Amino acid sequence: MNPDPIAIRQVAVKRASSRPGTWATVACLLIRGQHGRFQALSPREASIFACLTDTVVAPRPWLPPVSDTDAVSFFDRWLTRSPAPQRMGLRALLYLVEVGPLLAGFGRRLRRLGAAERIAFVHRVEHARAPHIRQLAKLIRGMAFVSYYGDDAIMRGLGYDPDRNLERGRALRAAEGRP
Amino acid sequence: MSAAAPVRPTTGSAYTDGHGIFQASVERIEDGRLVSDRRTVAADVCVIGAGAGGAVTAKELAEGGMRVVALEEGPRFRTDDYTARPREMTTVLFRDAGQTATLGNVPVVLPLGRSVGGSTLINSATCFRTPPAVLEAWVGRFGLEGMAPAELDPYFRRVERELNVAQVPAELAGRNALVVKRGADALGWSGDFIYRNVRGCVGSGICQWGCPTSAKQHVGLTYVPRAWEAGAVTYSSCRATDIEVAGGRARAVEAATSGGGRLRVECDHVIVSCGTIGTPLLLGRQGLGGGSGQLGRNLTLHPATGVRALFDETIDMAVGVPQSYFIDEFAREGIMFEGAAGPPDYVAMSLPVSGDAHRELMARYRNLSQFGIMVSDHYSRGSVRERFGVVQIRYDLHPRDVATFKRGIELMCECYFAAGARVVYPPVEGLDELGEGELEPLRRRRVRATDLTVLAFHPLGTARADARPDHGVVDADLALRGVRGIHVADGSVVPTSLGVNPQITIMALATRLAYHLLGAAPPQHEPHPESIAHPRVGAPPALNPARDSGPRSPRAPAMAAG
Repeated sequence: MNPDPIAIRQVAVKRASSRPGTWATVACLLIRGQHGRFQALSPREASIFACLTDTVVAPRPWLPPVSDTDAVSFFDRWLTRSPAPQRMGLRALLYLVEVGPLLAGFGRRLRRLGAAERIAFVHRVEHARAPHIRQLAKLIRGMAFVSYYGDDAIMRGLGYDPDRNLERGRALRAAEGRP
Repeated sequence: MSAAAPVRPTTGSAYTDGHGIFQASVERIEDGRLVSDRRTVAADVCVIGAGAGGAVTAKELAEGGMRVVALEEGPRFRTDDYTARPREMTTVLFRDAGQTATLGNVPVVLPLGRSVGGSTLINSATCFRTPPAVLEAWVGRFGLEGMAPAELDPYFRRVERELNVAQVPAELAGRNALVVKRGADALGWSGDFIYRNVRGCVGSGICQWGCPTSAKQHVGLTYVPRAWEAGAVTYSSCRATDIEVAGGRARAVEAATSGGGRLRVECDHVIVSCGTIGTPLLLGRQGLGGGSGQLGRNLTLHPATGVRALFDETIDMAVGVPQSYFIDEFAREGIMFEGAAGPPDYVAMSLPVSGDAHRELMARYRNLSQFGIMVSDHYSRGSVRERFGVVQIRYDLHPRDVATFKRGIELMCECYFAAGARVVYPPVEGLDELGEGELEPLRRRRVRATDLTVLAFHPLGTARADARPDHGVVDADLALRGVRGIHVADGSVVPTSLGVNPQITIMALATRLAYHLLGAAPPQHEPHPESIAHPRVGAPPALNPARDSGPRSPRAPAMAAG
């Protein structure tokens, strides 16, 4: 008998939430199986990206948690369509993000840090003295933002409805014989 | 203005009426994904690339009676393929899934198209003619006879008619443009609503990610169907790999299809239109065009950045034409301001903060405004080359162009405050936000290239035209030096930074090339536009007098001697 994924998710949320310094949503994402298997990302990489997105977006109180959006599955699709060098580079960058707090003296990996420590780490790399570190931070942060805010429900919440835009286009094309 | 030429309307319904968009009676296109065998076809001309240069050349030559085969590396997209979701479409419509970037003192993200339509499919549809001062500099400095403003005028008119270039009406411009216009008006700055290649635009707000109404008249909707109608055949998802040369003349083009097949086009003429990045790579692999030492060099980009501002009033950047207004007050200094509105995901990516501050800003997305600053990179230069199979685009932002950026950012902040912004967000490291009237921290700040966040949309110059053989990859007729039967028609031939968006320049040069190959007189009968933009762009400075200030025409002394 297949286990009930919703029940598993609830248990995971409960366990992860009870562990201080652990990012609960990560466990949800790994177990819930909502997005199926990723094509380009390993589960660990997906988890790191989700954690990073949660950190830079800080989705509360009016925004849904990362796990309730398609941010990670979109990022996976994006990588799948990327040229191999960029894909490899971005995956490596995710691991760098994960161990970055260790290198920066935070004592733990990104996903083991509390929310306040994670954002402190992000701010530190965003304003690092080394310009290349700042540029890399901008790159991965931008990807997290676009992955998260491109979720349909979030865009609708902010006033942009892609389906309505498409529907208007279809109607106009039909009415005026546009290609 | 010649008395015989009629006048073409460019305002009002010329912009908003979507009836009458041309549709070919037959679509002569082969999808390379479905071609797995080996084929050989014969043609008079093989055009490599179906973007601003290639599609125009293919159409004009086909209508002139030539048998034309066009090869395009990317697929063909129809309007039904668009999802109105910028995030998704970036990964589909853009080359490298939107991840093309330069290496250098500051990384520059370089969005490029890769499809039938090329970058015209993903641009903002902004149309400016090449500024007269720039054309005069080309004639004087590079000896590009035949490119003076009056000589190119009929080609501009022809392109503008084909694309239906018309001016954005205020009611479709979007509030993002209107607040900036308010600021510019308060300061007495020159600006205007932009002329665009559209037909029946309703302000969907997502021009760069596939127009859902087919209003944007990119070349995949205009020139390519016209080329089909005239008998040209397009092979999409088909990448040119070799140009076969025999006896000093191009004889054939070999291509690989995405379906694993091979296509050989036997032809008398080859038009290389792979874009500013692709053209030097293709020619370089073939050992062509390298005689001057300029192939792959002289890359200019029009580097750009954006200033954001928070207003009390509703802006709603997802409504209206994203790039609908420009300010040219400082164009002679190399600064053009152009609209840069967009949906939430696009805007979220560009905000300079993260965490709670980012969330709070995004919560006020409908009160945010964003406007672009485009710098004429007269001093910065870059290059394109391939090493070990990896394409390297190198570009270094020159300190003088960085200083121009800084001035542009200051001016844009000033404009926003004049328009009533409460807070502005300059794209400068360490200056996340400035309160009303607080420009001093920005003015005092020493800005370096690495302090900026830079994008670029207009790569030019890597196979530049120059009448002097040791200075240019192609001559004034865009013929590749060192081999007969090969011409170049894309942004790579443009010898200097333009100061304005380049699509009309590229298309006019491509039209001129086609007329030259056909031996036809310039199309003086083309209608004059009712109105057209005249931005105050000045001549590009001479960088190296020893190299760039040759005789007005290298042919002149010879004629005098004769």
